[in-house]
Amino acid sequence: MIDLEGVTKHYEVGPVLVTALGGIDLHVGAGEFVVILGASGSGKTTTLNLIGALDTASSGKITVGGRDLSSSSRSELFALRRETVSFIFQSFNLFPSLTATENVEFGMDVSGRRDSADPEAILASVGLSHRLGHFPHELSGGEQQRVAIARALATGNPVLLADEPTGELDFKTGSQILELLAEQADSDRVVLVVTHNREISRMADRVVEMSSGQIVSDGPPPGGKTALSELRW
Amino acid sequence: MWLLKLRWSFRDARKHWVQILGIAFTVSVGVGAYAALSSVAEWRRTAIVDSFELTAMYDLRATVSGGEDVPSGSLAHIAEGIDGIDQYGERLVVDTQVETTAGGEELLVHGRIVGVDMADGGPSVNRVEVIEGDDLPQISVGAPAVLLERNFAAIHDLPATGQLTVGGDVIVDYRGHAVSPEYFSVLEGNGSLGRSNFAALFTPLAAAQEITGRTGAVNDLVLTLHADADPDAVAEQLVNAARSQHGVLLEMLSRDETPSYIGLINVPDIDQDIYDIITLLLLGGATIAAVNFSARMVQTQRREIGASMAIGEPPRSIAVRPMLIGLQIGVLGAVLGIGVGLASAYPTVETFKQITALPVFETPFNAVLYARAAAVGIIVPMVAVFLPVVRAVRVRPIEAIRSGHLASRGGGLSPIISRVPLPGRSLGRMPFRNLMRAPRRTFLTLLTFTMGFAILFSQVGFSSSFEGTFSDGNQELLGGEPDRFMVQFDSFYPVDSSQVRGVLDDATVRSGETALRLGTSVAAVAPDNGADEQTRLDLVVRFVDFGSDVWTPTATDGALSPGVPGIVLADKAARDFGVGVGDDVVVTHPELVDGALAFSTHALQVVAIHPHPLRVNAYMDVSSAADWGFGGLANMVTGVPAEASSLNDVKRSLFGTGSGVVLVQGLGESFQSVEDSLEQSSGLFNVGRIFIILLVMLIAFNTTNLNVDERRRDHATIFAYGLPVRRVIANLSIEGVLLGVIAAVLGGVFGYGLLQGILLVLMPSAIPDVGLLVSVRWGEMVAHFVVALVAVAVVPVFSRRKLKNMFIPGQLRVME
Repeated sequence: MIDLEGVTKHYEVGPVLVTALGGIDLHVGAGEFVVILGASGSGKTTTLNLIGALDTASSGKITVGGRDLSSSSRSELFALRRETVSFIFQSFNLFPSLTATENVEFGMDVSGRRDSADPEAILASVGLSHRLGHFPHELSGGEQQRVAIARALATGNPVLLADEPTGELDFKTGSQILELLAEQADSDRVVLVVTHNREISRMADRVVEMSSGQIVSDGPPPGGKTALSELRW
Repeated sequence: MWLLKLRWSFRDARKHWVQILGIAFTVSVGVGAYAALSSVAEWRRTAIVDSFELTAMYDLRATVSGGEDVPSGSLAHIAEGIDGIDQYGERLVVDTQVETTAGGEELLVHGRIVGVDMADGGPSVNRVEVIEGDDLPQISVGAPAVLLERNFAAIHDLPATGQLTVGGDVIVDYRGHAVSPEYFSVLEGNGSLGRSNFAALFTPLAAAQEITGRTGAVNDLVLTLHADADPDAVAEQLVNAARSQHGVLLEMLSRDETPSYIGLINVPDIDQDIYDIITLLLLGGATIAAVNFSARMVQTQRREIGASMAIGEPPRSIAVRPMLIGLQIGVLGAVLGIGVGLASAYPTVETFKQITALPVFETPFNAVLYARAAAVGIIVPMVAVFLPVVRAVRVRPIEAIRSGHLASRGGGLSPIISRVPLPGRSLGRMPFRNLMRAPRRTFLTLLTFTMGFAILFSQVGFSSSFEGTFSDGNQELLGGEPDRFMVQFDSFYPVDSSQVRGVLDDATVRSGETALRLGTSVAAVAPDNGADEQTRLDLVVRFVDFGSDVWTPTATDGALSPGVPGIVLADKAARDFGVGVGDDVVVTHPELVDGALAFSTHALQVVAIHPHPLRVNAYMDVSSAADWGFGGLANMVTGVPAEASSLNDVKRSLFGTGSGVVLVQGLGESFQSVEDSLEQSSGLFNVGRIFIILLVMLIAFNTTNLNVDERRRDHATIFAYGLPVRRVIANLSIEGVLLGVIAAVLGGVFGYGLLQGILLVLMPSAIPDVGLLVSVRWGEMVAHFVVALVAVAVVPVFSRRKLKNMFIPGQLRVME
């Protein structure tokens, strides 16, 4: 589903050339729940952005859902985001002028699934059937993130990219969000979660640890996959 | 500390230069309008007064009545013997017809040959200033030649030299364009002859006598008085002397009674009232916009202000930085405003130069006014910044620095509006919801747009009302015959006289009817119009056959009954008198008693009201003429050209044949004159419209720009979900158009009120003789509004580059 071969990313910061990714290889298959773990500046978010076609690699080859991003046009990259990947952000990024239902409808509208999905059912699936007509500022942080997940699910896209999805949430709310994400992997979606929280990585199928733009380890969590109820942070 | 703040604010300015420039431009439109339009009356009045002084306009004018003349030197001789007269000059003034070609088309208009005394090098009173071509001494040599009055020459784009035919068959060269104070503004024939259909020709007295065949004759005297002279006493002495020495009656006219002088002197102040309203609205709109946008700029510094508060910086010190930005905007706005003012003053001045041929037209840079405008430009953004800064430093630091979802603000009216079903899909609803989310901001933007549309409405409606009023009046006079004309005689003639029959039976004339026109003074019986004093107006009563099937006035109230005595007043006159059908008015009128003219006063009932906008026009049935001693007499004929004849054929055939005809004029020509003047004034209207469209565009630009900045996370999220830039631009356009449409509706309503105020409150003081109607050409109005809306809709396209170059990941991680 996702293939990265020798991917590098450099940024020019004034006269200095900063290497965010130093040539990484990564393969993620359908139904995998992968956590990319690393400290600040390790390159994990850059990797996520490249997979999601929000940014372009300096070199190397990225393939997502069979589409080679390195040779895709700008409009093809936009199409990939509509049809293949969906984002969940740390600060939710809900549209403040739309209600919870309408935010979910947005996900359906952009992917052309307006007539084949039910936004209320999707919101109910994330436990928000009682908050359908509420605006983001009327919801708690956990509720906002659940709406954001519902919006991503509403697209029906096979790849979910989550950037620090629990970063702004307390433990209890955060674990509910993680549970939701884990369920998505069970339904054959790729779920890629970026976090600096090592505890979260314990519930993943696979942990990719990064440091200084390199993948330093890739495999199941040390000690094996842990149940959500056993996590603490 | 101050240096740091200054450096910091400059960095802010550099970072937000587009917004700052946008706001500064908005301010500059208000400042520029203020600077350019506030001084219009001042420099116009200066130009007018200086021009009258330069050309030494008469204090008194004496004209030998009845078309008679006296030997050259006789009027000068009378003037020499009267104390109080400073300068004087004899003239021969003869009405004529002037024929020439303009742009390949023949032009046949009423005109006047003005022969001036060339003793001592030219006239000392009512001087003739040459604009282009030879001067009077030069054309005194050789064959008779003339100088063409500049207004007429300019409106028809006539060259500096050419040939004219006057009086039907006399061909003369014109060798330049000139102005003279009586014709700075052309207002002849009771207002029916203007710059486009009246040609004055200036020439030395001897040449005028030769051209008109009135050798050695003069009929006019213009004079200036000493400062301590009594004009009435001088006039009386002149009249008495002329009667006793030459047996002629002199008609006296003072400068203050001269229509063109009155029009020029009074109009600038009335016009200024209109400019002041427009300026006030533009400056108000710009101010509100500046307040709105500056507040939004300060809002973007919310977290930095909170951080400063958190480290203990006093609020006064915190306020310095945003205030310095306000100062930068103000200085930039003031500088740009001077540029905008100068740029807009140029077409304004040029238009006035075109519509009023003045020899002096200086528009010096008014430093005081510009300094005042610049001060306004600087103060406005400072005040605009001050209020939001005060609000920002009053919040608790924790609220200011809070980030993430906890910082999300209320949804404005969104919760209420969410219950309103909206068409379209999620993205389509966003523009409407975004407007509802920040109601105060939306209201201020709406207010500025509304002001713009209101001014636009009043501007467009002003010219259409003028044209509509005169067009309606024109239709009323023409009665469905576009070439209907009037022939005026030099005296009263029996309707079966050779003079009248000669016109009625002329081969070029069809459906001719005799009429009698008399000047009267009319007052209401009692002041019923709320005025302390009785209104008295000079009206021209035309006796026509109310039973005619060729033409009668339209009665909008009452009825026209042949044989029934009574007067038909113009709607404007009736309103000014405060009378209606059935009321009486007191008419002081000429009466013919035993062949001599006398004046009588009678009460007459108002039998009907007619819709013609000129209040001077009144009508009575022809049968009533006998009551005033004019039974069976006529001094004019109206008619239409015969099948095979044109209006010019009629003019050529009837004028100057020795039949007593002094004027042949198409009744539609006066409307044409008004229309030509309006067309020439269009430059002024265009300046106003450019200002408004510019202001609306700037507001839209600033709104979009700030929206793009404030919603960068929303836009980044939309892009992250794969929607293209054009969808975001479309949404921004829809948002602008939504506001624009609401503002257009509100602006239309307010603009209609403004238009009514201008036309029904201000204009009656400027042109009391005209009953202006509020007439809106909706098609034209909608077209202007659509242009403004398209401008608003197009503006977001300018943000395309910014949106396209957005670094999406960077925006998605911004925590607000």
